[in-house]
Parts: sequence; C-alpha cells; structure tokens
Amino acid sequence: MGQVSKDAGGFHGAFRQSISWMHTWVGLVLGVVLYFMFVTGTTGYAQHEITRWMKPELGLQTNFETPHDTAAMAEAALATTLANLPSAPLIYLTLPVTGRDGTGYVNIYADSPPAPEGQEPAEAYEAQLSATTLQPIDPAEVRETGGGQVLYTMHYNLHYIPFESLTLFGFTLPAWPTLIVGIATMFMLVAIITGIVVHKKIFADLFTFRPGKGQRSWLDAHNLSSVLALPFMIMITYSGLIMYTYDYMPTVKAAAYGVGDAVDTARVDCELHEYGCFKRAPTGERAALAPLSPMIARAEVAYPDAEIKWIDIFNAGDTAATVDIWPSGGDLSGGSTFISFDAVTGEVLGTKGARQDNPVGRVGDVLLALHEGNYAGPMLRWMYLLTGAVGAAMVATGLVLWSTKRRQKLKATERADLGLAFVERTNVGIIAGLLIALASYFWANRLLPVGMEGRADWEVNVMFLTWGAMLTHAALRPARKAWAEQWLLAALAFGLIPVVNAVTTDIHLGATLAAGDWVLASFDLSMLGLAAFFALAARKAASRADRSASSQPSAATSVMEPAE
Amino acid sequence: MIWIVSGLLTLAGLSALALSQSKHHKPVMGTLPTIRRVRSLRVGGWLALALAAGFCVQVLGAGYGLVVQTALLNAAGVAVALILTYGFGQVQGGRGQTRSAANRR
Amino acid sequence: MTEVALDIAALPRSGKTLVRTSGYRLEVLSRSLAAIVGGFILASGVAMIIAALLAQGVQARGPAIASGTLVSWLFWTGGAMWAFYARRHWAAWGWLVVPGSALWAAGHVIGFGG
Repeated sequence: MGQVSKDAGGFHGAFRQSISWMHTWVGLVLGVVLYFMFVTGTTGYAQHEITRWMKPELGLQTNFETPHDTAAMAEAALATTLANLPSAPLIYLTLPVTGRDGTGYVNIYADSPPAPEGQEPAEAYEAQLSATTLQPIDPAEVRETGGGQVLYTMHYNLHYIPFESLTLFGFTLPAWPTLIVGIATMFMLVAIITGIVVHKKIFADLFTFRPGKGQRSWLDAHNLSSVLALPFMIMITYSGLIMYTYDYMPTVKAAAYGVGDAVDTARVDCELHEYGCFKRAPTGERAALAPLSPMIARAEVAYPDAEIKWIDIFNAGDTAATVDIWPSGGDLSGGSTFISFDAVTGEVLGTKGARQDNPVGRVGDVLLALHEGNYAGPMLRWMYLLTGAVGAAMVATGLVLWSTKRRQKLKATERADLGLAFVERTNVGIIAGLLIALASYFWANRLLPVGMEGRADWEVNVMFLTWGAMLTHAALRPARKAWAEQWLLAALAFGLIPVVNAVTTDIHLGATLAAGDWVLASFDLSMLGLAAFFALAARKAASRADRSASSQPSAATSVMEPAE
Repeated sequence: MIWIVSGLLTLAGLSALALSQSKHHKPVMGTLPTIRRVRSLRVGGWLALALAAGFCVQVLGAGYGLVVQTALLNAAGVAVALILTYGFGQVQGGRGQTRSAANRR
Repeated sequence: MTEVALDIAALPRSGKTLVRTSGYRLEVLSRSLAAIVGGFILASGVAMIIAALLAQGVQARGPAIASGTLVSWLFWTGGAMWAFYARRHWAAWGWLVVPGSALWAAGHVIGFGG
C-alpha cells in the first residue's frame, strides 16, 4: 500500500496518489461554493413552502388533497394579466399542483412588449393569484419579501455578482455567476469520480462509522455521506452540468447554428431544446384569444396521469398567438412534454412527446427532471430535502477532514502553517456560519418593518451580513471554541424561529397544527428539528473544546493514521 | 403503504449485508461468522433488496419506483451505520483493534 | 517511509524541497490548466465528432448535437484526471490538445449537413 508502482507515472509517482491529490484540491478550492450550492439548493427545493411561511399575510391553507380547478385558475390568471398588460408577447403561468409544492397560488409572469425606438420597455407584470379565491394577491397587503425563491435563485446565480458576460474572440462566455457555478459543478464531478476511484474500501467500509477517533471519524463521516447517497450525488452533479450545457460547451452548438446575431433562436429552441416548436412570429393583426378551458380539457385528456402545471401563451392578442400547455405528473417526463394550441381557434397545432428519436436527449430530460424534483410526491420531497442536507454534510465533512488530517500530522511542538490556520477557521465560519445566516434570513423576514423600503433586498443583506459576522467571529476565536460557540448560536437561532413566529404573526405552530396546514407547520417543526441537531453538535464541540483546553498534548500524538 | 413495506425490506436487506461482514458481525453477534452464515446473509440480504425494489417498481412504476428505492437505500444505509455504531459499540478497527467502552470517548 | 513521502498532504512542511519549490507550483499550474483547458479541448472534439457522425443521414440534427454535448462531460472529467496522471506535464497537454483538436477538425469537416 502506497508503494511506488513499477511503472510509476503521474504527478506523485502513482495513480492513486495523483487522483487522491486531485480529489483533495478540487474539493478544498471550491468547497465554499459547493457547500453554498448544496444548502441553497436544498432550501430552494422547498421554495414555495418557504415563501408561504415568509408571507404570513397569505393565511392558512388546508386543501392539499383536492385538486384545484385548473381551468378556472388559468382563465382568472389570464384575465388578470391581460387587464394589466394587454399585448404581452409572452405570458408564463405556473399553476399549483396538488400535494407537490405546497403553494396556494398561481404564479404569473408576463413580458412587456418591446418598446419603440429610444424608449424603455414597460415593466414585466408579475403577480400571484390565490387558487382558492381566484383573486390576484394585492402586493400592498403582503410583506415584500424574496421568499424561498431568492434562495432557489442563489443556488445557481449566487448573489451580489453582476449578471454580465465577457466576450472573448467573438465568443460570449456565460455570465459570471453561471460560470462560477459551472466551474464548481465541474470540480464536483471530478471530486465524485476521483473519490470513487480512490476509495479503496468502498464496500468494506460501507457501514463503518467510528466516532471519537479524530481524522478517522471525519473520514468515515465523509465516506458515509458520499457513498450511501452516491446515486443522488452523481445525478445532481451531472444533471446540474447539463442544465447549462450549451453555455459551458458551446462549441458544437456554435458550429451547427452559428454565433451571436447569426443564430436563428427559434430554430435552436425547437430543434435543440424542443421548446416553442409551434410558436409563430406575430402578424400585427389583433385577434381575441379563444377560451383556455377547452384547451386545458383537451390537454388533460392527453395527459391523464398528470396535472397541468405550466401554460405558456405567446403573442396574446395577435392572430399568430399560440398556447403551450405542459403537464407535471409523477413520472419523469414532466417538463419535457407539451401540447400546443392555436390560441385563436383553439385547435391543436401539435404535441411534443418525450424525445422519442433522441435517446441521449431523453436521458438528459430525465436527469433534469430528477434534478428539479418537481415530479416527487410529498414523501419523496422529504427525501430530497434530507439527501440534499447529506450533500451539504458531505462537503462540510470533507473540508473538516482536510484540516483535521493536516493538524494531526503536526508534531507536538509545531505550529500550524498559514494555510491550515486559515482553513481551520474559515471552515467554522463557512459551515456553521452559513446556517446561522440562513436562520437570520427568516428572523429578518419576521422582524424587519413591513412597510420598509427595499425590504426584500434587506432580508438578503441581513443574511450575508450575518455570514460575514460569523466568518469574522471564526477568524478571531480559536477554532475549537469557535465551533462550539457557533453551533450553539445555530441551535438558538433556529430553535427560536417558531417563537419569533408566534410573537409576530398568527400562523404560529399552534394555529397551523390545529387548522391542519401541515406545510406551514412543517416549517416550524423543521426549524426545531434542525435546532436539536445543532444542539447536539454544540455539545460535542464543547466537550472537544474542553478536552483540548485541559492541557492535553497536541492531537498529533494521538491516533496517527498512516497515509491512505 | 409502499414506503413502509419497501423501507423495512431495505433495512432488513442492508442489515443482513452489513452483518455478513466480520467487522460488523463480531460486535453484534459476539462471534465471527462462518462461511455458511456469510453466504446466507448475503443471499438473504440481496433477496430482500430485490423484493423491496420489485415492490417499489410494481406499485409506483419504473421511474418513480427506482427513485424511491434509491432513496430508501440511502436512508436505510445511514440507519444501519448509525445503529451499528451507537447500538452495538465501536466497530472493529481496520487493524483488528477494538476500543473498549472504557476507552470510548 | 515511502508511503508517507508520496502523500503530499502528509509531507512535513519544512525540509522536503519537493513541496514548496516554484517548479512544483508551476507544474501544478500547468497541469491544472491542462486539465481545464486541455480537457475542454478534448471534450469539445469528442462532442463534435459524435454530433457530426450522428447527424449524418438524419433529418433532425438536434438529437445529434445533444448527444455529443451531453456525453462530452465524461471526457472532460477523464481528461482532467489524465492531466494529473500523465508522467510529464507536457505529455498531459499533448494527449489532450492534439486528439481533441484532431477530432474537432474531423467533426467540422464531416459537418452537420444542415
């Protein structure tokens, strides 16, 4: 083990060492981005539930079993939209699906028509329509908040980074956030594959967890969280990569369709992305839209096992208007099949089925569906949340493993070098700090004055300011104390959220449990559950801090594990 | 419902597979397993997993069913690991060393 | 002793010249660039040739382009791993850039018939 192989090649004289080295460094260098992505991705998955909690003015919801009246919702949403924006070139309606996203409202987004020369286009129209009352939710009555959607967006767009791209040699690179997230995902893919290659005892150690042994314990924790959830990790990473694949690997698409203004986007959309294939250029002549209800009825017949979730209306009010209706079912084809109607006559223009002639494309669609997880029923949604948390733990244990391993290699009289000291401390601020910051986001939602200007932005600012404060705290305290203190703070920060909720609103746990609004109740209960977990972590960290404080020799002299 | 049935089968299957490894068999059963015991645990374990997967796919359909089964494997795997560690004392070290309860922190 | 010496993370920070020389850092940089850029070139080439071959004689090019692009990531990852396994860092570059460019050129020549 570890012997130089006879045909020693590689960066470190042997295959295993090179790959092991790679695994360590891709994980370490972008670990903070990956951890951030796992935490925001996991919370963002529950974005609608979180948004509802963050908008207490929306009140309780008790109907999670009976499907909503799709046609009524769609018609009402369309009417509202056209009243505000009579000739929108594009209207997106997202309807709530029974039992699968905890929303009680229709989400409306409508682009404004292009403005005449020299003028700014009007603002896009965005609104929510209550599924029960079919009335648009008056923004003045609900506190301004980014809700869960902001967390979801941060997962792939980070925050504070301008969404601009650089153009090099005629090629437009992806926007900066997309680029960073993409590089992190590529590093993650390398980390997974190198991790598998390098993990010699992948089956022997499958159920092995040995706490209290320093580096060995962290390695066990890292292995457990990665290997047991490996199918999920591979899926989530590869699918994340192919989500923006034509931004990251534009060469083939560019060779086939050209670059910049030469690209026929309609053709690319239909041929490559299989979207909007029946869309037509507006003629300029006005025509009334046919009623949506028969179209929806027709779609429901075509997709009997699904509910209608997305309705895209192109060029409303024009003779060339079309409507695309997308189902979302419990199968993995949701998001890749739709039926298209002529919006004036109501006739079917065509359907797009799951890519029959394109096996690789179909695999891609399935992977994307798996990543988004929209198809999942309530029980599976919980599994997604848990597994996402395991992913965050995987990255976190990896980061801690690195610093623990380094520290244990130090001799008794040696001091930590700058790199080790830096990583040891930032680990606390990153791992525990981000979680505390997340809690502070929810605190801010409850405590910031409702009428405050720029409230939604400030909720997010509070989150990042808290993260910064935690990183500062970690920089100033010895690492072991910092862990204990921050885990305790995390436990308090999460544990008190239901209390703050009860004090400031009337959708507290007592009310939600009594009324049967299990979505809102789950939020408060999850906060308590997380708090309990962090309290446990705080206890372990505190005892470890006490042990090291009581003049024990440096950890280096305890269990010294030979190199893997 | 299907989650409970497949979940229990998956838990049983993974437990059997875990016990077929000597380092887990020893703390739980007190002795090292015989070849016959290992073989029967492995066969039984895989059988239970196959049944669990089969039930999932039959009740939930191929795509959804396999996803659910994968999630159950994940959850059950974590459960087995934690039960072995905290329920039955420290796992045998890779070099055949055990840490007795007295040394355990 | 050999096993400790080969594990970079285990090397003591003082003494061993292998760790902190500028030559070492340059090699890390070179190999990292080879992994990212060279790997990208290899992946692009693979994507091109697969897409071009699959697009032959078929009316819809979308599936061909999708196939090539989606699969290329595996080759990027493999190429990145190769960049750190190759015996010499310029061999890392060579084995990624040359086949990658050749495949890309071939794919371009075959074309998409579109």
